[in-house]
Amino acid sequence: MLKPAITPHEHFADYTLSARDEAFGAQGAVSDPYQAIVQALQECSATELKARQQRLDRAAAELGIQFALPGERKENGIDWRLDLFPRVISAQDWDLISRGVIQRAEAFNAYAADLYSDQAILKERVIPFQIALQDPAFNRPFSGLSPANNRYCLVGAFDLVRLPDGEWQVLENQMATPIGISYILQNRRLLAQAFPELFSKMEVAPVAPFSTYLSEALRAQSSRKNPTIVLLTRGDSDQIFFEEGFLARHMGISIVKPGDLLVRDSRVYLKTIRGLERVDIIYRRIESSSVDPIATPGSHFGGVPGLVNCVRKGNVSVINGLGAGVADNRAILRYADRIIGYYTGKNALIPTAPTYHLSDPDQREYIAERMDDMVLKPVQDHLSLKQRLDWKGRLDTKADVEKLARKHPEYCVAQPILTPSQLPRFSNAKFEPHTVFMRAFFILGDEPVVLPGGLTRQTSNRHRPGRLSVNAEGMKDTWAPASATIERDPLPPLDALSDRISIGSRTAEALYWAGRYLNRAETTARQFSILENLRWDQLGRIDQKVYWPLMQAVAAATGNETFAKSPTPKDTREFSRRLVLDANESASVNACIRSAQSNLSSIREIISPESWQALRELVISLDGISRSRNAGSRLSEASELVVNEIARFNGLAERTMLHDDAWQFYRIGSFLERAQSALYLLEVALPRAAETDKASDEESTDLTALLRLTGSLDAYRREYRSRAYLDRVARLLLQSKNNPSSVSFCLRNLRYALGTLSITGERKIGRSIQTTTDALVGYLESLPIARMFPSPLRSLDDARELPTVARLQPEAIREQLVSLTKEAELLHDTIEDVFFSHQYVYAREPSLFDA
Amino acid sequence: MRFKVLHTTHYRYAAPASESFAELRVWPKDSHAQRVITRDLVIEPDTPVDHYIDYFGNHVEFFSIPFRHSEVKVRAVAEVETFKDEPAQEILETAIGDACQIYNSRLFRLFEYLQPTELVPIEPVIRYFPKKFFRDADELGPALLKLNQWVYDEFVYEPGATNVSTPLETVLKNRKGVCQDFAHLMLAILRSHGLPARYVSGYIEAFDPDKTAPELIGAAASHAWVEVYLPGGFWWGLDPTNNQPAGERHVQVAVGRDYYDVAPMHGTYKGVLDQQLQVMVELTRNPEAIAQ
Repeated sequence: MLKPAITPHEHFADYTLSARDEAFGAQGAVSDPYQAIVQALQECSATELKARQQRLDRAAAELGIQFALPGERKENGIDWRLDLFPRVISAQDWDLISRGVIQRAEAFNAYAADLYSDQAILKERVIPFQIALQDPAFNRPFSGLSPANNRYCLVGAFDLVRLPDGEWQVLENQMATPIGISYILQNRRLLAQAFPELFSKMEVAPVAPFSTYLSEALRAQSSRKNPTIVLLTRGDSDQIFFEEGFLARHMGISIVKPGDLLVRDSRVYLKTIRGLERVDIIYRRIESSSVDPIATPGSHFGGVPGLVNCVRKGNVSVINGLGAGVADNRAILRYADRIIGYYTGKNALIPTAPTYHLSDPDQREYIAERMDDMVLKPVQDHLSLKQRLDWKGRLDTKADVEKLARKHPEYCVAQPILTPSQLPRFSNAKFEPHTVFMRAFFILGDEPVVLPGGLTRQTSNRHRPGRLSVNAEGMKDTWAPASATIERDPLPPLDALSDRISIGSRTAEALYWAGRYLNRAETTARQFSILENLRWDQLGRIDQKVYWPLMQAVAAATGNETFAKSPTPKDTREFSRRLVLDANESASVNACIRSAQSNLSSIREIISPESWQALRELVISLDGISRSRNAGSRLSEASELVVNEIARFNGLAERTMLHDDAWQFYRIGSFLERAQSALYLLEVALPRAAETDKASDEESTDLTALLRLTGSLDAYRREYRSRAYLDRVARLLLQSKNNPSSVSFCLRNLRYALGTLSITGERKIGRSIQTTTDALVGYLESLPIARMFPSPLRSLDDARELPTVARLQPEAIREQLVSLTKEAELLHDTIEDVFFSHQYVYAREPSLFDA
Repeated sequence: MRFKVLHTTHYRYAAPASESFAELRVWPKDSHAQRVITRDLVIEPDTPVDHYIDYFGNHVEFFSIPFRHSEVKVRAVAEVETFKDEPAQEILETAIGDACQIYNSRLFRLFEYLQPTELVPIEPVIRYFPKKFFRDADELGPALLKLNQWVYDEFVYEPGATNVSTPLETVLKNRKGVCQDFAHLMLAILRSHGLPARYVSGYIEAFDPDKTAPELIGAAASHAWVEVYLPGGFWWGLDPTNNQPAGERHVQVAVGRDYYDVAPMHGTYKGVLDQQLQVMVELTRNPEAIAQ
């Protein structure tokens, strides 16, 4: 069989050569490491290359969509770009990098340990103590909290450049909470899928096991066989969220926010709906000063109260160690060689880029003369720097940092703008040279390793300070030689955490409250809009005082005391505006919707984009109405909008969200809220109706209004085909199993939702709630309706001849209903104690001050 | 002198809190000027207490109340003996210029007591009071007492005028505050002149049982003053609120760079944002005499 001859395509004919080009050099001869790649590319036609890059772009864009947060892709979404020309590190270079990175990592790790203990390096005046002690990442409360084996930095990275003469330099340390490992893994996967031929001619060290190395290194920090590891994040930006979500999934660990953790008896626990799960290792991705508000007074960043005390007692490991950020202090970069020499006794294998201090007058002068060739950087990217300097603005742009340098030169350094090596980049159907930077990761476990590969970024000539920016100008897959592959026996896999841990309490609680708030908003809005219609259509010009008690019942049902207790206001329109639109009035429709949104936004990752979008649109529309000049006269419009849009949200959520345990909490919240608001309305309306109820044949406007307010008028007519009688209304609204607005219906559905939860594990903590709910439904359904509201037409509803029973007085009816309401409120307390706050453990122990 | 100190902190929450966490620094430390004889801490509701010694040598106690509660009561009792302990006269006669040279030779150890902090910002103090408080030739002791008096004279002690979160700038503008503000102000002035100084929290005996007239300020709650590092290593206490050096009637509890390092009780609770706080300090001289 004849093979078609391969025509080598010449893609590099017009390529601009330069001495700093890693692939072609100044003369255009392909350097050894890039032979295979150039050859593979030459075997593709220009059209083919374009198609490959398109394939890559498409896959990358999908990745961006997949990990961008719902509804916000346009603003902050990840614009992932990967170039099809990879970076290849030669065997010699890799040998230097792997030795040099470990050497440096160990030295700077020792520096962190020293700084928090004896400060020998400062005492001996090896480096100026001012720059070390002034570091905003240096936190006195972490003195005396040394991690096991003084391992401050278990996983870290360095930003490296390769200069035209082939020398490698370190630009920055990233030893506190470096990001990028997930990008390395994704880039390799994307390139291998879009362009497998590239890999056919060369052996490359695999990057896929990086997440395994990391999880094994984390596990080794606990003596327990099957330790529980969590990744602690603030989760407030897409880029970080992507990385952390990916890593957590690949390592099989839980990703948590501070609100997921609870300290009890000097141990850290993860709150789940199945109970408390003891945490052994916290892989922190937030600044040390943000982990515990108790330990670092004055830092206003939240965190887990009491966490540091658990660290002090040795009951939990925090990785990287608290205070590790001092190794990233850019002010000590100038002394990197001395630091490496001091702690390792050897010369630095990889030098550090020249770094100047603005605090030193001579250096400042030197920098001032070369300002155009310098890049200014703050000493730390930490929030604590801004806090220390009371810095209100941002510190992202060049102008920001220049301002910082003018006001606080002691917190700024300068580095010359380097012209490191360049590589071909494929764009607009041709290859053009582009400068590259690389981040190399290491794990400083028992056998320190450099992860064979790296994150190569193509950026403009300026190495931007601040967080790693991936969407600048794209990335390159980075190839370490196959000989760099780390050989070791993997540990047996961890028991999948998801099997043990189920849904986090914070997630369940957010959904529960979202369900409650949306239901409350919907109920209030619907009732308000019905009252508005009643007022104009039926009551005509009857004095507002007639209309007020019903309005008050609606207001009372919002749970707002000031609404409930206020006497007939002079200006009912203003009252209505507050009830519907005022975002500052905590029980208003608008405020409820905002509360729901804020609850859902804290768990955006599990909300379907469609549902999130629907809620956002509602918030925006409502905002528009409340800001409009004639807001007061658009209340009906606003209420109808709310009723319709919440129905749309519920429909979308029902259709697009995963119906797991978390989802059940949305339902539990909705049903409990609906039951409660029905009860709040009925405990006011029914006793009053009993007072005024006459056995006349007239249609009672009050009862019809009540049926309408609860959305039950149609149900009533279909069920009874008669005018409204009080006993029938009461039965339909309290005890009906079919009327979705009845208290019984809501409680039965709530009970059903509770029953579907997979909480029957070892702890069985949900059992008692189910029993309580059953009892409540039983109580509700055995209410003596016949005595409370004797039927004028008993023979119609009940053919049996009942003995005449004493009729209950309205006050007694009110008491019955009020105690029912109390029971429903208690149900909320129990749900909170069992699933969210985990107070159930203490429920039987009377505390000293419990009223 | 021998004192029994009773320091109670009482939080009442508007609605029960589900969790409270706090670190306490209410355990007087042993020093050249005082000796702690007995010490006891009672927390209601009852809960275990952890103890450690922080970087500055202060006793820190940590507790958490993980179950629902409406109040937290912290009752710290200590018996402390204080001694007359004054710096040597010749040290106080050191010229400021010479003292600063000595400080410079020990700069590494003293560095943290010369730095501005969030609560002790130096810049606004220089802006409000550009004058030089110290000249190189001045004698250290009298110059420090003069500054102490200046703060006392220029600022009005007014309980309630400020709270823990009031920035120093506001104190400078309104010229009034409480002991904590005066301590921060004095630290800022001292540090801006290169004199190392630290914040002290503690108690003061306000009424001298042997005399009728003199009354000192700062009795009802925790008191605060400063200590200046003198050549030779003596930390000299100066109380600008009472215009005098700290003496036998001052009981020291904790030291640090500013209030954040020594806050008597620093914590959080989970519950509604509404609480009432009551702090009471009782200092009794010669407790055995009274008991008998």
